[in-house]
Amino acid sequence: MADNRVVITGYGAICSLGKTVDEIWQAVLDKKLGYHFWSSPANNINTKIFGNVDFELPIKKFSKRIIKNTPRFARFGLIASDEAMTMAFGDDQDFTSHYDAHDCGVIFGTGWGGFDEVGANYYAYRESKEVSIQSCFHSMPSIGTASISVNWGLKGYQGTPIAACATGNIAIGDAYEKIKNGKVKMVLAGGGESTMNALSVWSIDVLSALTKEQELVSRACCPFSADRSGFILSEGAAMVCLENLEDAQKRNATILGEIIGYANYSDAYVNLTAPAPDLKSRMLTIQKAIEYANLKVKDIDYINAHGTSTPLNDLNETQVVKGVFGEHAYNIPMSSTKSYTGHLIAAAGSIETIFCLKSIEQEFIPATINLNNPDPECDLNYVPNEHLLNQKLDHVVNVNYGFGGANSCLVIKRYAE
Amino acid sequence: MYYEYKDISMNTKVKIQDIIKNQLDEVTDFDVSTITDDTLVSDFGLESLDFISIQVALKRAFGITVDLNLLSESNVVTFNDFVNFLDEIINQSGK
Repeated sequence: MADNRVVITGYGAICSLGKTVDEIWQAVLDKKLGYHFWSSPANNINTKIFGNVDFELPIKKFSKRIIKNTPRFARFGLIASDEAMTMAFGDDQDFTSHYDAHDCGVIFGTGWGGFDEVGANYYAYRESKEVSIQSCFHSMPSIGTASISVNWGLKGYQGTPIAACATGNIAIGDAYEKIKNGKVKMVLAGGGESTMNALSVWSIDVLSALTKEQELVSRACCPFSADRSGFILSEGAAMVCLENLEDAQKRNATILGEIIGYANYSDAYVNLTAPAPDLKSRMLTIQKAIEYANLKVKDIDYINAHGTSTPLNDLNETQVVKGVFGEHAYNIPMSSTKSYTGHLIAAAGSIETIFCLKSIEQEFIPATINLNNPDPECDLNYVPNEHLLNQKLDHVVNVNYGFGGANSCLVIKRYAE
Repeated sequence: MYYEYKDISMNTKVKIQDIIKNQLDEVTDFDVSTITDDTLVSDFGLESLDFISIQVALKRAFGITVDLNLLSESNVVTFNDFVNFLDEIINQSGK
């Protein structure tokens, strides 16, 4: 079996902080908060602050033949893929000059897919109103994957990982393995999420998972802080373009980073929203990813944490990092960029991979902002409130944990020939 | 939309035209403002699911299911042919 090196040649994203990676990253540099008070359509909920996208989506460039079938999460995926394709292949997005379309695939995951649209269609059906005849596609979780495949004519491998908050990380990891093993040469990979309708919001809020902050937006998402009370529900998508290094070099692609390790383990814990108390699977996820990357723990320069700002995750994540890195855990900067974006659910892992790439490129570690009242039990270096500059980052870890006990870790390397 | 009921069959045809144009505008990239009586139906690039969209819209407007399989046996070439084809079916069903 092949053992190819896998590199990233393009990326794209859309969320409440902006329509492109440049806009979003600038917002991170400026320490902007991508969440706000919003009168959600849900009743009987505690949470008041969301990272919903409140600008018009730039979808006019896509054919109506494709858009008509797409629920919102899939539209986010198309927009993010479009940016990634332009970055990788130029304005004309001409990848077929370099690849047979059958060697190019898409792995676009989601946690809840078109659940919002399904709800609307159900009510229309029940009340004998006009129901969209695209209802079947709205409820098909792979509609984002299919739409991306159709839009660009990607005739290779297709996959739709569904693993809640670990999805985006898993999508990139799975794409990495497929290219590494020679099954495909180029993959657009990432995740998209939009679960903002009344039932969606209520169903997460009732689990006490969403932020309970009622007054201060800056206290609504404060990973590793004693004030943390739950995550911010956000929406959006993020995609990366991965290629076999040899093929990327042949076409003189700009190489933005390299994926060198990936591991995926499950908590198998009965409480689906809580981390398993024994930490074992989460530790193994990071340990094995580093091992597969042929690195030691001391080689890791930065960790982009899952850091959701929930009481359970942030403490558990701290304990996991201590378990994996030992005393060295105190030397490694670890920040949560969810403090800017909120929690993009299936897109979290992929947008955070992009943040890792930007960090490597710009020798910059984004701070965990809103860390104004540290939790004494969370005592690692979370880069509180001030960005770190002039950081030579060779190896970065991106870790994500999802409802249902999905755990995924990527090791990303500064590209060198 | 308000229709003047001067000529019932002309009224039905106008409704049919609007329905087809609305569906074309929703499910294809065809610029419906350019449609004339002589526009070729083949230019719309309609696929099977697009015909279902039109069929469902017609059912919602007139309460009847138009068997669009009959199209292949018909002599529909232009937009006007298509409208007339549908108008005949709808009128025959007594609506």
